[in-house]
Amino acid sequence: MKPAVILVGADKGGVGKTTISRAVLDYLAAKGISARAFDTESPRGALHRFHPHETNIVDITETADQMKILDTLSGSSVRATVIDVRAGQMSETLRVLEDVGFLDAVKDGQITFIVVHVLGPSVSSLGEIAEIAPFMDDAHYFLAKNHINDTTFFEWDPQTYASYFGDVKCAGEITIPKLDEMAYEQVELNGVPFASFIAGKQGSFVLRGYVRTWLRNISSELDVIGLHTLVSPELRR
Amino acid sequence: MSRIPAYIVCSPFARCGSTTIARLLADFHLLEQRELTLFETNSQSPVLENWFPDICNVVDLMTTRGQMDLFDQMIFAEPQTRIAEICSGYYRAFFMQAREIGFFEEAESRGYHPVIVFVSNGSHISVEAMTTLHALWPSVTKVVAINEGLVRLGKNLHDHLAAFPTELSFQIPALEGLPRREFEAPDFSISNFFVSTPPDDMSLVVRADLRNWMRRVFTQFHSHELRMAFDNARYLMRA
Repeated sequence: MKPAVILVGADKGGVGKTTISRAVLDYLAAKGISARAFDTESPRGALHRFHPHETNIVDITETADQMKILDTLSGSSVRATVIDVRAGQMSETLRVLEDVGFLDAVKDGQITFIVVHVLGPSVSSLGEIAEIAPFMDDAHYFLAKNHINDTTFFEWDPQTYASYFGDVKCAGEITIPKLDEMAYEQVELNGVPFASFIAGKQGSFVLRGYVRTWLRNISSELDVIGLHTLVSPELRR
Repeated sequence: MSRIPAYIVCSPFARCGSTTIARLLADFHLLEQRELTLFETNSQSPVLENWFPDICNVVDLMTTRGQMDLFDQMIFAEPQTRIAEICSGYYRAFFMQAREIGFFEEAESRGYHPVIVFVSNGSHISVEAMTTLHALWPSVTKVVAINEGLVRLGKNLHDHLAAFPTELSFQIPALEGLPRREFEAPDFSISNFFVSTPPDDMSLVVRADLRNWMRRVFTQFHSHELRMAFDNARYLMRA
């Protein structure tokens, strides 16, 4: 079984990395793909709060924690490892992965490496792309435009956009739609995975409905980029 | 246990009588001494609230809180008949939200019998609008309603009704002159009119006209209920 690592990150804070990591974990579970997660928001992990059973909190700069993630990849019975990268640590994390030989293992075809780069609506997000491009040669690199907090990417004029993408081989784009504020807040208060919130019979049916539709739309986006088949190629058949 | 009706009285057009039909349906249930919750979406200038101050909830569908007040209350809380009047300004928003949150599917799974009462303005656009609803929710009961006091189709009425993707209809006869004025008075209660002694100053003729008119309307509602009961009969359901 070839392990897959899904890195969800951004150098900018507050763009919704953890929200997307949560949605990815729900997506994998819905597809029947076993997954575990590492939350690098040490010592208090945001992802851990919502997915405590699958998530470990780690400090990616510590050797012991790097071993905890990477040395267990091949021995683990789970197919996918989701790493929710702390704000501002995207480039550093990639450098660590290069230093420990992880990117070489990806190049050799031992590990599937998927990077979901979460972009905020401001043009400063685009600057990050050039910084991480050198590490993306053998990765499946996806850009996620997260509308969860903002409705428009107003600074994204097509020419500016194109000029930043010259250096990177992008496998696709994911658009994360906006979720009703009240619905989002209710899930936050409940501290449960989105899928559990939908399945629960407590609370507002309207808010659950909003979350259900939102998660379904994200699932469609992830289907389009073929995330499940990248992680589990046998699902393609 | 039989399923609980949840009526959605709606029209994409203003001034074709949806408020009157919602009011008549509400009074029919009250006259039958049933528990009832009523919702009105015209939060800018509510009308039904005047006649049913104790049971009418005015909701603003443009806010998430208002959507929760309507959709959550429609299928949660105590199991009793619900009637929601969706005014023309919120017609599109209501059905878009209903689709987004899976309202009709959830209502059915919770033992409600949703019934869309679509009030036509007599045009082919009404037929198209209801056909769209039918395509979205083919299994939901739909009734086309014509308020003949506002929509006068004459001999074309039957052809118009036949164009809809449902064979169920309510035809509300026109009510004119003094009886209509009485009916529209803010202090006039239909259910009280049937069970209480009418005011002395009401003409006998007006009284008889109103009574006959309401009987014609309520007979249709009753007939619809019997049909729903028949449709919901367990012994007739497919295995």
